[in-house]
Amino acid sequence: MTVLPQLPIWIVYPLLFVGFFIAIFYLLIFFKKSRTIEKITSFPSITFMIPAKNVQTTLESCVLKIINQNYEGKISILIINDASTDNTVKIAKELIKKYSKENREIRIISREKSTGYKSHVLNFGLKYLFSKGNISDIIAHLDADTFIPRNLVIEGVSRFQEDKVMAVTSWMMPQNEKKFLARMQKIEYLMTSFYRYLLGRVDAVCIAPAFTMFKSEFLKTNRYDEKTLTEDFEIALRVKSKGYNIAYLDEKITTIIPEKFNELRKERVRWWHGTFQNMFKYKHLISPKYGALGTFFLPITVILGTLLMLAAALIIVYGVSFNTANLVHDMLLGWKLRWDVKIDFFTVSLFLSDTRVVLSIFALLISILFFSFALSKANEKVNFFDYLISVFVYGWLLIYFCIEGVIKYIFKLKVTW
Amino acid sequence: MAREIVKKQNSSWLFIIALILSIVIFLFGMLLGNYIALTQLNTFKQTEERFLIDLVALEIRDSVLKEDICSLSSKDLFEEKQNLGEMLTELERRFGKENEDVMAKKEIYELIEIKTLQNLESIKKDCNQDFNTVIFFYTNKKGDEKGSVDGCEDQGKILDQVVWDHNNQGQGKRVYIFAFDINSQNQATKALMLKYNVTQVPELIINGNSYGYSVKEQIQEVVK
Repeated sequence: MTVLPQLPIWIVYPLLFVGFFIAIFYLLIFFKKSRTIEKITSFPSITFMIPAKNVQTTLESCVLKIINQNYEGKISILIINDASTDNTVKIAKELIKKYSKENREIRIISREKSTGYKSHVLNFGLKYLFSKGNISDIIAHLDADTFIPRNLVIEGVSRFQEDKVMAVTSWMMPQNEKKFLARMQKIEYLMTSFYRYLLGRVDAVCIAPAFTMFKSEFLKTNRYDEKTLTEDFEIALRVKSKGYNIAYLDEKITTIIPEKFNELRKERVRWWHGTFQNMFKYKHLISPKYGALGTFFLPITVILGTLLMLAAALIIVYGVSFNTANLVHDMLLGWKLRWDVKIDFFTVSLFLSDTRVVLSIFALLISILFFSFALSKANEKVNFFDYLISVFVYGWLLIYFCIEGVIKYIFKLKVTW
Repeated sequence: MAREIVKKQNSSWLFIIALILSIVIFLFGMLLGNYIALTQLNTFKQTEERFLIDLVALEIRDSVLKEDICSLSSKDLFEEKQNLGEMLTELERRFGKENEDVMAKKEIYELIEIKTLQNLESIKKDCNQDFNTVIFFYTNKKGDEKGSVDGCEDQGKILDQVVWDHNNQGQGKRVYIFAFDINSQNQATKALMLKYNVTQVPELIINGNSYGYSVKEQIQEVVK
C-alpha cells in the first residue's frame, strides 16, 4: 500500500524538455562563427568609480591593477569613501601621493554617512563627476574587492566600436577558492560566466556586476536605481530596454566571495529578491523586439527555468517523502529494512530502460560537456568530484536561497546586505 | 584572450533549431529506453521458456527413468521459480501490471508456479522433507469487489518478511510462497481457486489450511 499518492510518471518530462532546450540553445551559440574586431586607433578617457567602505585590505591591490593597465589613454580613479571607519581613507591618500600622475589620476571623495546601498554611493560619485565638467568618455564602476587583468581596459574599449554597445562587462571568477563554499562558488561562477559569455554572443547580456564600463553619455541621463537591492541587474535591464547592448569580455576579473554560510545566504537572497523585483519592473523586455534576451533568456532561462528548478526540487522532496512514508508503513507491518538489493544485468537494464532515467543520463552528460567547455574557455582547473558535489549537493543550497528570496519578495520581508 | 565579436544573427533560427534538436533528443531517449525494455522482455520470455522446458523434461524424465524425486532439492527448485518471479515483478514495475505482454507472461509463470508447487508437495509427502508452502491469492485490480489492492500489497510485504526470516535468517522451517492473481484467466489457476474455495483476497493457504488477511505474528505462529 502506498501512503501518499504517486506522482504521474510524465511530470518530469516538461522539466527535462525545457532543460534540454536551454542547453541546446547555449550549445548552438557556442558553435556560432565569430569574427575578430579591429584594433582601436583612438584611446578614449576612462574613469573608474570605486565604492569604498572599510576596504583597507583590498583597496591598494585593486587600484594598482587599474594603474598598471596596458592602455595608452587617460585613466582616472575616483575612490568614493562611504563613511569608512578603518584605514581606507589613509590608504587612499597614500595611493594618491605615490601613484597619481597625469595619465593615471587618483582622487578621493567622501560621504559622511553610509546608507548601506551601493547605488547611493555610485550616484554620489556620478553627481561629483558630472558637476566637475570634463567628463571621461567612459565611466566604469569597480568593486574594491575586485581585480582586473592587464588588458581589460583596452579589450573593453575596443568593444565600444560595436554597433549599439553602451556597456561592457567581463568574465568573473573568485579570488579566494580554498574553502568548501568558495570551491563550490568557483564552479558556479565558472558556469555563470560561461553562460553570460554565450549570451554576449547574441546580445542578451543583462547584468552589470562588480565591474562594468558605460559610455558616459548613458550615465549622464541614467543614474543607478536607489530603490533596488540589485542595481547591477536593474541598470543592465535599463540599457537593454533603451535598445542598447552590453558586450561581454572573456578577460577574467577576480573578486572576493563569501566563505561563510550566512554571508553567502544574505548575498544570494538579496540577488533573488532583486531578480524578482526587476523582472516585474522590466517585464516588457519579454518580447521578440529584444531578440534573444526577450525570447530566450528572460522568459525561458530566468522565469521558466527558475519555476522548473523549484518544481524539480518539490518533486524530489515529494519523492523522498513518498518513499519514507511507505517505508515507515511497511516497517509498522513488521517488514525490516534490508540491504540485499539485487544487482544483476536484468534489473539494471530495466532500470536504465526507463525514459526518465535515460533522459536524466543525457542531461548529466550534457552538463558535463558544458562544464568541460567552460573549463577550457576559462583555462581553469576544477576537481571533478567538486563538480559532482556542486551539482548534487550545493545546488540544493542555491534552491533554498531562491525559495527564501521568493518568500521575502512576496511577503515584503526585510532583506539585508 | 583574442578579441572576438558576435556575428549578428537572427536568434529565431537558433530558437527553432534548438526546439527541433530537443524534440529529437527526447524521442531518441524514449526509443532507446523502449528498445532496452523490449530486449529485457525478450530475455524474460526466453528464461521462462527454458524453465518451462526444464519442468516438462523433469516430468518426462521421471516417468521414463522412474527416477527418485527425492534427489531433487526443494530449495533449488523453489529458488529457480523465485528468480523468475522477481524478474516478472521487475517487468510489472517497468511496463505496468496492466501491460498485455506482461500479463501473458504472468499466465505462463502461474503454470510454472503450479507445476513447481506440485513437485514440492510430492517431495514433502514422499521424501520426508519438512517445509511450509503458502499459496497467496491477491488482486491488482483497483476497486475489485473480491478484495482491496492495498490489503494485498500489505499482505505481500508481510509474507516477504516471513520468507526472509525463515529462509535467510534460519528462524524456522523454510517457507515457499506461490502467488496467484484472483483475476487470472488461466484455467489451472482457476482450478486452484476452486480447490481452496477462494472468493476473497488476500487469501492465504498455508500448508493446505485457509486463512484471510494475517499479520506477521499470526503467520509465524502457523509456519514455525
